[in-house]
Amino acid sequence: MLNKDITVSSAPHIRSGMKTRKIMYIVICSLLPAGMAGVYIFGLSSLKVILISIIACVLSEVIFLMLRNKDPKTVLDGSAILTGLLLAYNLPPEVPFWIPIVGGVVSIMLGKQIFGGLGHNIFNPALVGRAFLQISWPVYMTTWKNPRWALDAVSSATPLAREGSKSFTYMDLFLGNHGGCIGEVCVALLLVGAAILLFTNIISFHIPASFIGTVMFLIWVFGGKGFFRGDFMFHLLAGGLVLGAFFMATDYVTRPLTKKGKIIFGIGCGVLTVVIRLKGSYPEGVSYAILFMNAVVPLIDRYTKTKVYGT
Amino acid sequence: MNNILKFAIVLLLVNLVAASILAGVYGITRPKIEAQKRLAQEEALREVMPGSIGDKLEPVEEEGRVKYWQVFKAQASRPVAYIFVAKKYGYSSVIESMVGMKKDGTITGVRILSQNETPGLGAKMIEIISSRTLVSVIKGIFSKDKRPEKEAHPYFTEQFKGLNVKRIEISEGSVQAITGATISSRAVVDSIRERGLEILNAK
Amino acid sequence: MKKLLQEFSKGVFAENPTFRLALGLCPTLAVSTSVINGFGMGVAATFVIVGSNVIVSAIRNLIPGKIRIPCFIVIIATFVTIVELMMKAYFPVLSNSLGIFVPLIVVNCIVLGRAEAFASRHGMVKSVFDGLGMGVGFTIALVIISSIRELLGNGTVLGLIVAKGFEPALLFILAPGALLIIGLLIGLVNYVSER
Repeated sequence: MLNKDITVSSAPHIRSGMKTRKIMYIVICSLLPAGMAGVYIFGLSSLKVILISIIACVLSEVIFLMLRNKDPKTVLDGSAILTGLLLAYNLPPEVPFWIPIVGGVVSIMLGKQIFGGLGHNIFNPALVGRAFLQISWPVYMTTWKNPRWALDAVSSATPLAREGSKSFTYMDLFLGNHGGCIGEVCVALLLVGAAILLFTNIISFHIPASFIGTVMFLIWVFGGKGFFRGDFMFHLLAGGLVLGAFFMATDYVTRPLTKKGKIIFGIGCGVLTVVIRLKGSYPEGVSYAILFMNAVVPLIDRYTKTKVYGT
Repeated sequence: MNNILKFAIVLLLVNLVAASILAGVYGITRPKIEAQKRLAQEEALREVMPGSIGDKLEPVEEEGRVKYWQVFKAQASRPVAYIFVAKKYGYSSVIESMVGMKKDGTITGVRILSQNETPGLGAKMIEIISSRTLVSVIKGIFSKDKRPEKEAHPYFTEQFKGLNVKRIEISEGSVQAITGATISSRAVVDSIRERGLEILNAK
Repeated sequence: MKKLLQEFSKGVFAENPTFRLALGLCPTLAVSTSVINGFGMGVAATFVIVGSNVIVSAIRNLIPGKIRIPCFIVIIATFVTIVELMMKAYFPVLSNSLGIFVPLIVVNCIVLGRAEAFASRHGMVKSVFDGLGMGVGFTIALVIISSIRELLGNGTVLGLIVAKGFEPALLFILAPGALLIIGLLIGLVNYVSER
């Protein structure tokens, strides 16, 4: 095994001078505007969810690092904070306080540490937590809250939930004037964050472009009554597609390495998202689609590996 | 050649013994199994229509398929009630329910026959809330007060009892939807109302 | 006697079919949703393993090697059908909740595995103890898995509610919970046995 005196920084080992830590904090910063929008839209209860989730993730990271006899200072690489933030962004604003706690522990324990910590996890930890919560307590996970200023603030369906009682304008959906998860409602500010990541070269456009492109195309073809009549703008703006495509599918550890692989990965995510949204028993499919494709990444990497010159 | 013959004979013998043993076991268990089946059927019937045990059931066929059953009280020539199966697509599956209905449209009972809705949401339509907790049962062992347990039924379908098919809907005071599963709940209510009215109007 | 006890205990611990050999996982995943189901399945499988072990061991010298597998399958299927009929006749509720997984004991790898690997090479008494050990090991594994799943996923122990305020995590009753619990338990068993 590895020599204990040498600590190998966790994967990815990147070509540029950027450290994992720096990348993590840039990603966190790029996520902040959308979160602030969520807090503004749904009120302080969502801030509480975000904070509890982050604290739960950081604490369980420290505990599991100590259990595994690792240096607990590794927690400062920011990955646990990012996981907590992403998990909270995937929760409805008014969940009971113990939901983000359980989600955080599950994310870190079952999503990350059990595989050997950052760099070894197969699945995106935040999404593991979310999937666990979604299946375990579906009622809490699908009880939405309207924006603060709405007249009936109690509970409402997310636009995706096929309840069909209310219609939204694209502008409402784009700005976040509707029920939904804390971090996914305000598409406008998510795009600002995504622009930061693209601009600083932290993510490339391959996964988001192929993911979103596939979803929009398939929804256009199959999503309506009859072919080629689907409301693809609606499916782009409602639900967690933008959050998932830019911030979760692009996770360094759980995405393919090559450009070709990333495009295959994005298309796969898109196809699964559409299948789940249109035919599945849950309204939203982005998180399951990404998790599923995470599992396929080793296979994708194997078949899209760049050939060494001369072999 | 010789070998093949030997194999065949051995296999034949093994199968013969197995078959005769099974025939014996089947013979012994058959009456019991059939009794259990009857019991299950009766229980289903009692659930959708208490007090109909012993009444005559007559299937009404249309195009060679059973559409619903008419229930006759002894000697009476006109049916007093109907039992029918209602089905409709819910959120992710076809929900089938068996319904007992008096001739004025009053529902005597509903039982979900099959559904494949989202676990924890739509699938709650078959959930039974038991009041038996670990503590209460242990207490019950030591206490002298031995009251018989109340029979527990799924709380969602229990709401239908006594309502009239002509007026059931998802609302306060009629049938309350399962939390987070309005679509599944509505499918059950709509399917029962539509099918029930169809049968009532056919008369 | 000591030898026989060894044959028995290896099925429970060192060669536990579920945790060490990872055999028969399909029924384990499917029926371990409640302790009653898990226990019923375990007992049914134990009966089949012991029965088929005895018969296979008794006729092991009469059956030509080339057709032993079809013969074993017929013997196993006979026992499974007996169990199925008995269960339908006397335990209809259990039979309903186990459903297709009772007839599927035929293809449970543990049963054919023990017939092929042990009973066809050892005497009857030894085979009985081997079958009992494997069956008990399987039953214990099922009961452990199903009690964890029932407690976490349904909030009940043997169908009785544990605490009023506890909101069970539905995941554990569903298939992913089974995989999760089995994986964690196998990991735990490996960790402990490496110590």
